[in-house]
Amino acid sequence: MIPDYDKYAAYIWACYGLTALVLIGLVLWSVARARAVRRELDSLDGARRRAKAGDAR
Amino acid sequence: MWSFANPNKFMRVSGVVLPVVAVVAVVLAVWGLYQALYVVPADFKQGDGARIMFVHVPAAALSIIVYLIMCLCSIFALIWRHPVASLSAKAAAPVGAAFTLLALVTGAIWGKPMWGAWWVWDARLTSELILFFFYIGYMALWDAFDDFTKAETATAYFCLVGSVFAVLAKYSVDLWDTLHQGSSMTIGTIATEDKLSNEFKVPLLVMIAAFYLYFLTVWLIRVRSEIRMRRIQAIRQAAVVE
Repeated sequence: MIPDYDKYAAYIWACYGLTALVLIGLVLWSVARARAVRRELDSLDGARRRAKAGDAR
Repeated sequence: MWSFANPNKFMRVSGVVLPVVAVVAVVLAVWGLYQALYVVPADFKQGDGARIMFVHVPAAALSIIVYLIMCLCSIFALIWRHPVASLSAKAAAPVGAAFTLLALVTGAIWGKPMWGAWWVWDARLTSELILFFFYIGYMALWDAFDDFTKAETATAYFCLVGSVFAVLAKYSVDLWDTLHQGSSMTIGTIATEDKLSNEFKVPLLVMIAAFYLYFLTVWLIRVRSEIRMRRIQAIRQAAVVE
């Protein structure tokens, strides 16, 4: 299953492993940040709507 | 294109495009990685070490392309005050920095068995390192200002200054006799097998495409976050005024 790269194995797997770590980490961080921002915006929008509804009464 | 300056329209269109781009990126990456690790034969000079090319070259290419995209966004922000332009440049920076870091580190790892050295002060490597510092400086400069308009202007000019190193990183191998090898593939030679045979070229092109679509995916996610954060700031400022 895992190919045998002889003397280059450590170099190859280090490169591919680091690339996977950085790129997967970056997308997970970006998605987590996007969700947190969206939650905060929804919360502020909701508070604004409730405040306006309260003022209207 | 100017209609995408409207944040609402940008959010609508990007919401549709994003999942498509993400799925295509994953498909291309899986196929490209399979080819790179299992199918492509060992190079006659570099042996299996040449397989590092399939992550190093796309990372290096994208590190320069992303910076030039940031420069274009900065020009739009400076001249036309495009509302989404500066946010697009800001959103692209961390992704470009990640690609530059990967290019530097995978290049160093590749260089050790091939050149016998982790690092040399070669024109291309040095330009790429300085480009990485410009990415870091750009991101830090955004956080240095409380006022958005001042930050937008300062970072745009800073980005444009750094474009010199993006261009140098690309063309240094043509301008000087450097240790780093020259381009194995250009627009003019893409259809020939003079420098790179098709069994290496096709997986390489697929990996470059996968990295590019990965950039688009993460960039769209981050631009959408930046637009939402601007709305949060506007709501908070309105609440303070009231």
